[in-house]
Amino acid sequence: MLKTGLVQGRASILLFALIVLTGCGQQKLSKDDLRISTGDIRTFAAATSLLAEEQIAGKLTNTFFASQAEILEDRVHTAKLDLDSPGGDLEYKRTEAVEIASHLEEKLSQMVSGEVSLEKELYLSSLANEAKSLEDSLKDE
Amino acid sequence: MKKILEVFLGILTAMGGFVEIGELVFTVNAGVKFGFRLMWVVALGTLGIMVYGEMSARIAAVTKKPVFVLIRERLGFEAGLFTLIAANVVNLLTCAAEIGGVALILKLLFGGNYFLLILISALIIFCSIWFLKLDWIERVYGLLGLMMIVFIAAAIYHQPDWNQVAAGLVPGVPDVERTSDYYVYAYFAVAMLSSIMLPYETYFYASGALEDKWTAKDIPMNRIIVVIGFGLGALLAAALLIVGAQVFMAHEIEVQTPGTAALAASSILGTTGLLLALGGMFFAFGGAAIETTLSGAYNLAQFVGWPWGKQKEPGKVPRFTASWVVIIILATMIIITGIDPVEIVEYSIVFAVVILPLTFFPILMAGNDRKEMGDHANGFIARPLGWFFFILITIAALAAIPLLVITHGGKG
Repeated sequence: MLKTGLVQGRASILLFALIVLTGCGQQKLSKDDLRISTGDIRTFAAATSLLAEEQIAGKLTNTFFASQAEILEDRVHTAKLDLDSPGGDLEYKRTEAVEIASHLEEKLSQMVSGEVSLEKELYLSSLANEAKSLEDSLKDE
Repeated sequence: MKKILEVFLGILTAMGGFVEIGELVFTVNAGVKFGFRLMWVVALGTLGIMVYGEMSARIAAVTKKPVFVLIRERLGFEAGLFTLIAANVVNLLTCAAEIGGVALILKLLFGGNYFLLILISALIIFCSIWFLKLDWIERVYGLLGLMMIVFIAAAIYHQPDWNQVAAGLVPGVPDVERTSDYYVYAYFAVAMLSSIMLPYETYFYASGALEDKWTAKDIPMNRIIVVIGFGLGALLAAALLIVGAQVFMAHEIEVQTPGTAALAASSILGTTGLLLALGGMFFAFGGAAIETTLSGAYNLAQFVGWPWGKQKEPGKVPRFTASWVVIIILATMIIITGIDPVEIVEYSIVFAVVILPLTFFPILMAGNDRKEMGDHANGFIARPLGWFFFILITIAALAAIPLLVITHGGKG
């Protein structure tokens, strides 16, 4: 029983070490990478807001609206994946960017189904402004 | 009368085929980032492609030698082989991006699975090349690409300050917020220059001149087509830059999808504008996919000495035919991995400028050679302009990759 416990203990330590090493090996997001990804999210949010605005105004076909929303959703998802690294000192800003991207992705998913409203458009505009503020805070003087 | 019609169609075709997905994205985003301050690059790049387009077709008409024969003769086998490989890698990446662009347009028009639409787009490109004669390919894709004129309407509608637009024709350093923005400005200048003067345009245009059996008598017609056609095409490029500045800059949108670009047209003309923009982009990107496909096959066949020609029966030029089929297959395989077409073309455009000096130098040397060209050698206009653009492109080629790295692909 003692031998089993020792083996299990060693296995646990080994597993813990592997987890720590993996975490250490995963590259931290640089300030530039975070700024660029946030900039992408900002541009996608603004593009989505414009898309919603024109759909509400009846200037688009339903097929175009849904397809463009789907394309943008895919792009936002990719931008979110680019943020999937530890942020180090900028972790709180990284988390904020991921949160904005998640909200944007959720709205785009609704738009793929054809849902759009003035409230959504205004919300998307506010997401773009949030992303812009975050992006500006990451720029060097 | 037939000649006038031929020239007229040539002009319209040159105009309609001027813009492809890379130029669309770079030009619009240049407007978003810097307003009208990069308009001078549109003008300069257009003049450059006029000079070298006219020169390469004139050389082909007089000497019956296409560009890659000149490259092999003037640079030697090893340097020529390097240029061939580099040029065809750029062609392949550009072709992949254009096929992806066509698939995105089909999705925006009809919906559906993007990956299935990539296969359909590749099939459209294949069938167009297989079944249509070269002049019909040029007419269909070139003329229907003119639907992009809706962007000229959008540019005018949004009432830019025309004095500022004109001021943008003068090269200058813009006022920027950060030092690093100067590098982004330089990056966009280089990328825009490359997107207007993409090497495949020269290869394709010269090969087309040989396919159409141009002689020295066709040189005046060539000049008219190049000057007026490319000049009118530059209006489209200028309109895209204005649209970037007037429509997307205020919204802080960097255009990363063709669908977003189309919103500029729908904003003024509703669904009609939207469909014109999408239709124009379909034929513009499709035309570019066809040109890069054939250009790659022309380059290979001409360099190694295989019989070639789109006008010939496929069975009579089997290796040329196999080459362009393989290019379509490889391009489709690249884009079906899911990589963003806009991302591919951004890299292919930057690498294209690196090989432009290797393309233009043999053309310039052949054009200046009185033994080969006789009375049709470069004169007092073409010679200095040819040297000017060769030096300019060489500077751009040296700066391209460092700028790509420093600016993180233009993102600052």
